[in-house]
Amino acid sequence: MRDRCAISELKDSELTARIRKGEIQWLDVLIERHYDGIYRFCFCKTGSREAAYDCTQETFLHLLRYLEAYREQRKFKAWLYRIASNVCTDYFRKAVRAPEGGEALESLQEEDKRFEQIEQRELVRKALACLSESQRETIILYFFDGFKLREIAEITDTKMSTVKSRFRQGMEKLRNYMEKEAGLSETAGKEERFR
Amino acid sequence: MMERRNGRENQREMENEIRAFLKGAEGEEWFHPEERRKRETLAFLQAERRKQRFCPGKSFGERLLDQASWMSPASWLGQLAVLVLLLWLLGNTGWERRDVLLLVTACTPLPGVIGLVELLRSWQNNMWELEEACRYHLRQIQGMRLLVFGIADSIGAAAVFAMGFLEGYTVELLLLFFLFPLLVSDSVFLLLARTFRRGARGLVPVLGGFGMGLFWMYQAAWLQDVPGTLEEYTGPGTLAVLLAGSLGLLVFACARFLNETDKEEQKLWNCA
Repeated sequence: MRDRCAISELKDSELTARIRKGEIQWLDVLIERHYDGIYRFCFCKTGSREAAYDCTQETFLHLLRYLEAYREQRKFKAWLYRIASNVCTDYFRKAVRAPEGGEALESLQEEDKRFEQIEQRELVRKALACLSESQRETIILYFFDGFKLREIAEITDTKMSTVKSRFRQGMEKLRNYMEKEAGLSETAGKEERFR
Repeated sequence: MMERRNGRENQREMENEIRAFLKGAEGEEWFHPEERRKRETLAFLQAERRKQRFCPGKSFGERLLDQASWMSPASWLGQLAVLVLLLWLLGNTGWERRDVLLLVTACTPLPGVIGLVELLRSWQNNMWELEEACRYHLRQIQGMRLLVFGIADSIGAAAVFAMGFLEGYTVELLLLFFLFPLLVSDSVFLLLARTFRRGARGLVPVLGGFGMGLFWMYQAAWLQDVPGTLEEYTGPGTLAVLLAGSLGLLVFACARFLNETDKEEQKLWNCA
């Protein structure tokens, strides 16, 4: 039990240092730690759960293959997300019909049989679907994964000014969506009361 | 100034609002992967990780030194003995130059024999199992060994050339009677490595080396005894062609040897 606590307290840099010394079993801890985040990121990039699972697995296979090439000057998490971003781009390239931007999420929502039942609960997913792919990627990396804008520029291989502009536009779209939703829910509330 | 501060506060406020809104995603189904799928993928990745032959983060030079230290002391002693023998032969002023060159050229297959025996160790006594435990590819190991031998042979050759110059031998003679047969012998041994690996043990490579030594002696005698031949073969054009050819042959032999090692590895190293 104490061991487990100690492992969870180890930073990525400490784990990668151990792995580079040859204690390769620590990779399992590293993979498990980042699995959910990478899955979420892949889901937001691809818009499909199946594709997200595939891309997540492919990302970690790439990690296994290229770990020797990792240099500790870069933050491990940023490097891993960069791999995930490339894997998702490759996924779109390989796909017969690549989904575009927010339409991907929307279309997949339509395909989801349970969507009607969970629509009210999937508010954030709907909000994210309003954003363009690049804006969504920036927002996800900033708010969910805690990256700084500089790191996002590194992960997405984009200029800092572009990332800033995507971030600002994304936030404005989200706020507009939130205001619209709040407005709608207020109106709905009033209608309920009048009935 | 005030406007900029207000702008920043607004931005922060907006960020906080959005953060609070996005926090709602944690309760949404898409936000988390299915536990069953996650466990399956993690198990698959764990199995893949076990298959991985991971090289710890050492520089190439460090890995090369590591590999050199794993090579048997007998092979290093053998290489040293050959070098000493060559230096002694070249430095022996009591003998005729013709005979010295015959003996020098006869010794040129020896480094190849020693190298070959060392390279073939991986297929003998299940040595590859030990190497597998070190998490290196067999091809990488063999490649590094070839490089280590290449470096050692180059240093040895430089010493032989230095000794030859001191004793008054011309560059052409040293190239023709030492470097050319050395390169060709090494290439032939590498090209025959697969045949040796299958059935040969112990004395077979040594006998092969002995036979090749006799062949080079015969060639050297012919070159020196037939009038005009030596002049023809030590001409810059012919010598350049011979050396370029032998160097090309060595590169081809190394590539083929490593390629076959890789093929063999697929069959032998089923470490899944």
